[in-house]
Amino acid sequence: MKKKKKISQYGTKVSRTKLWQEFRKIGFQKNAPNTIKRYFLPLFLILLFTGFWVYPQVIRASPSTITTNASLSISGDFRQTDLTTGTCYIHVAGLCTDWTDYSTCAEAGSSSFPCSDTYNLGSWGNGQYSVFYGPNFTPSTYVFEPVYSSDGIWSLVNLGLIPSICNSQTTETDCTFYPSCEWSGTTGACYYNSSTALTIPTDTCSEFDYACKVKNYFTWFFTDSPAQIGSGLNSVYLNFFQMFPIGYITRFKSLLLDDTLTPALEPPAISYTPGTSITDHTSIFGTFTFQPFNHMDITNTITEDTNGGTRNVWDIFMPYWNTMVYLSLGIVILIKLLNLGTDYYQEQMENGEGPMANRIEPAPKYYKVKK
Amino acid sequence: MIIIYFINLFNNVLVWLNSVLPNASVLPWGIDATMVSGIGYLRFFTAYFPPLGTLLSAFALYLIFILGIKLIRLFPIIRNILD
Repeated sequence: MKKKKKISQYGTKVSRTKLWQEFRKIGFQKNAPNTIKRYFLPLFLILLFTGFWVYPQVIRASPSTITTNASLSISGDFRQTDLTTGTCYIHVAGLCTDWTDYSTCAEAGSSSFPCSDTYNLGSWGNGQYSVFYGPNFTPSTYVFEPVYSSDGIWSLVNLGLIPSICNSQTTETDCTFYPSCEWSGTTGACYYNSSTALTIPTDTCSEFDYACKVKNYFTWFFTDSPAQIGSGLNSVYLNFFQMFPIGYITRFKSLLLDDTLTPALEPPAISYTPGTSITDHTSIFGTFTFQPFNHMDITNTITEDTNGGTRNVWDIFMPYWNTMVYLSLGIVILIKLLNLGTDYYQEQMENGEGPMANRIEPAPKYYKVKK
Repeated sequence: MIIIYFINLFNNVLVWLNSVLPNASVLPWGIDATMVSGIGYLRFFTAYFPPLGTLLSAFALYLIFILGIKLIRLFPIIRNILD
């Protein structure tokens, strides 16, 4: 009698798709575990597809006027309204450490011109410049970057690939800037002041886009910098911890532990309305509201009892307390990770011993044993 | 070089996932607003009594650890490693 073929306890083989059959034929990942074949291999192929096929298509679809050393030419009427003679000055600031204070900006250049003339600012290289400042200075930023589409499948390339490979890490993507001008010894208004926006034409703007794409695409494989890796890993970190559902835990953690949240966490304001015992009389004070945090001093005035001691009671006590608490937490987490502590009770229950033994019935044996 | 390439590609997938998955930057069902005011009260107390702050932080870390473990156990591979 022919011996019956043994069937695996996990059931019969699942029929595979044609694609997988093809992969099996050529021996691709033949000995890899099923998990790798089913999940990581398709993912890897998708990555390859997006990287080596889609991205060159994006570049190929770009106009033929690709410039690798793009610059922007700005011209405009920077004259003041009430002065047609004399000398006008214009300053262009570079990167600022504090964007609300123009004195912290590095000056990228300045120039003077007759106030009766229209001034051509000339060409500026690819990069980030900030302001034209004058008497009515309002700091503002413009960045030579295009606005990327965040819709649909192109977000994969536009929001993910291009910004992460371009050197500029700023999120400002306008091509709009706000100039103002300065002149010596006279006050007045400018034709272009801080409230008037100049919009750079999209064509000019896109030059930077293409330059960036082309430059970075070809230098990827030859240049490397820790800054780029760091920036990339930082993006991965941020994107991962903002992703559903991990983002909820991140937010939860931030609310509990982060002191740098803006606006700062504070209890709800306390409202108080003074009462009166006089009939039909309304207090002139009305209701007033205040934040308790704003009127609170921490009681840390007790200092150590030595000459010249400046540490208060919490400065002395908290290091020991913190050590104790976090050491305990570490031990608890370690026990949890190593499954210590649960084994003991588990063993007791299985043997019918211990305090929990008489409260839990033994598991009924419903399964049949095949002969 | 190739490291940046793979980092960026992995980042792409995350960015794409973030554009598809629901926004997880704010806790749902009004919990966020409740916590913002509620945690403020706790900080009010911890400003007066700092040891309480340490205890709360440790408890929060433990809670995050438990939630994290429960979350990553959803993935069969990690569950197999942990078990």
